[in-house]
Amino acid sequence: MTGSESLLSVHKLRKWFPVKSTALFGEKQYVKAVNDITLDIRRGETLGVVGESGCGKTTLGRTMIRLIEPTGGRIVFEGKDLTGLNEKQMRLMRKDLQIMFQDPYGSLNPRMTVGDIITEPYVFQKMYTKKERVEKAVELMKICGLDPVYIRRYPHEFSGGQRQRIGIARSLALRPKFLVCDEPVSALDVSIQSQIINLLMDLQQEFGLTYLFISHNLSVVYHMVDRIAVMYLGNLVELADKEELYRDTAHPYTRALLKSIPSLDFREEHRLRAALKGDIPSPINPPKGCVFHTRCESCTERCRTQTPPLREIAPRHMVACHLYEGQGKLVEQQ
Amino acid sequence: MSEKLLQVKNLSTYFYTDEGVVYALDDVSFDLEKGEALGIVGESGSGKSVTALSIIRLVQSPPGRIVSGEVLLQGEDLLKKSAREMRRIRGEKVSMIFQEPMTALNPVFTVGQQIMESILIHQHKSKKEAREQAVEMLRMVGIPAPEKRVDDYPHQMSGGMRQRVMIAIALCCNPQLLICDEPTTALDVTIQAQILELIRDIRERLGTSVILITHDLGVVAQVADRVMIMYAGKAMEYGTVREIFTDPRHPYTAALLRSIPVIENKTERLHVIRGMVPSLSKRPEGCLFHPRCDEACELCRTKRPELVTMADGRQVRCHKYTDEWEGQHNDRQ
Repeated sequence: MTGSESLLSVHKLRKWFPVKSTALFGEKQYVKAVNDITLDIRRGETLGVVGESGCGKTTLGRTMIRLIEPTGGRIVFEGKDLTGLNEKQMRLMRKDLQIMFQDPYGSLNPRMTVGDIITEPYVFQKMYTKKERVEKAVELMKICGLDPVYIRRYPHEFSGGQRQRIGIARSLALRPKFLVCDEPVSALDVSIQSQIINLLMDLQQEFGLTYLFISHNLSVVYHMVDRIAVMYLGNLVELADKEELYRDTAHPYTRALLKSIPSLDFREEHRLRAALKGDIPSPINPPKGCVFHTRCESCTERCRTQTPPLREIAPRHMVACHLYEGQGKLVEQQ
Repeated sequence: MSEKLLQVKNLSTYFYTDEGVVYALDDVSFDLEKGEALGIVGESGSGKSVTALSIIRLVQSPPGRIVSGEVLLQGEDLLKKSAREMRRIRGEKVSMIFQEPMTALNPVFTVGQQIMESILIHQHKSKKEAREQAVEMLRMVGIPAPEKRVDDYPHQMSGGMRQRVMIAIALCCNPQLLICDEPTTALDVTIQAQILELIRDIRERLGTSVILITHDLGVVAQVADRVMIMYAGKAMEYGTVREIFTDPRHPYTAALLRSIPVIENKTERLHVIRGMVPSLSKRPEGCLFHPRCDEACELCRTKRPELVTMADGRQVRCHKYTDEWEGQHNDRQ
């Protein structure tokens, strides 16, 4: 189902947020939320982005569709460079690029009915007549497993899972090609989570959607996606097909992340051990060299000073770590 | 190991609201041996947090009220204690840590002052001794450079460190029972692993009994000895971790285990539990789980099942394991 054709790619995408510096003549400080990330997403695939809080995964998702303006780099969608577009041109592009949010409580306007929430994108895009919009809303509600009789109800009358369905219906209204799913199931209970995951997978089949699936839950990501990108402090540290990433984990951080998932296997030999010491460093003053070196067990002198480049150590398996020096080839960063 | 530290018998806590009575906790019984860890698992609104709050009598009243039951801590019923006696028991014998390490600490006091507060209330110690103990506690929960960090304010610490501070406060009077309400839900996975290891370590070193409340079955499998599965305010299944995870008997437990994505499994679709958790003020007739159960029959729709203790000691609240069920299904054939 995955083609080899690239739908959206980013080249050295960068988003640095300026921080108020306390020193009068101090150097200007930045949170490097997305630091020169290069990757591409193929039509019909799901790319998972994992990482701990503050790693920049949400910023990456939003910058990719220019909900946040990038500080640098290029975004190419279907051969068009999005970074050069003005506001009006970008608004037209939004039909193809949509996002759904984590919080089903905060992301829906409490003063709008479900029908108005779902059809609001048509208003912005000046599409359809009022009557047609209602028809569309009914259809979308059915697709997302909501009973259309509730079209005039308000968000507070729905449960978390149902609200998430409303959010999905809205993000599908314009029939986008690319959908950023930012932690879509994190706020839901286990039994509801599986309903939403299955719905998202069905919709992908039905509409040929391409997903960027952002989550901190590795098991959910593994289940949903084709490839996984692992981020740490704004940097891409590893990117591979999910089976490969799990089988031949290359980056020490990815290995630690995988080891930290509490397994359902209760036997002693599967006991969870803390794989990493210490906390994530502040993104304002990230460590020099490799950003992960402060917590890495294979850290060498070199890691403290030099930033490891991204290299392709096996076909379509990228890793940024000095351990793999000399292996594979450097990923060209144009 | 067979000494009972805590026995909870037929505990019920209801909330009396304008919309009616909310049966948040309904006739729940369990016990805890010395040094044991019990996991209480359930989805939101299943009554797991209310269980914890009822044990240490912190249910907000009104609207909440513990309507019946006994909570025996070493044979003494906590529900019969005066407010003053309870204040002594909390912290000295039973401590609790909460989900939100961000909001559970007071932002205007240093973490040292907050640990010392608990020591000075419960123990006859001078300020100097209390401070020394605070540093010691921080060292024990694995905070680096505790002599310096003791003067930090909560905002200077990360989420994982704050949760460590909470554990330090909870442990400073060496309680026999530590109740952890979703202790790692707000934390990242690598930090979660650290905190779970710390809780396990404390249990081994100090012999503290632990009640671990969580929605994450993985966390329970890693920390607990026994598990109680709760649904809509009732215990649905109760057994050892081994039993529950290898041979779940209640349809809800089984469905819950199948609906979690697991990395090793190559399943295309996840198992779905249809519908949603019932409202606790308008509960369904019969078994509370029947509207979502694939195996429900007429009996489940009409009669509330009792908690059945099976031959091997496992407790299950499901008609499947009663004689009546046999009868019904023989009739059908």
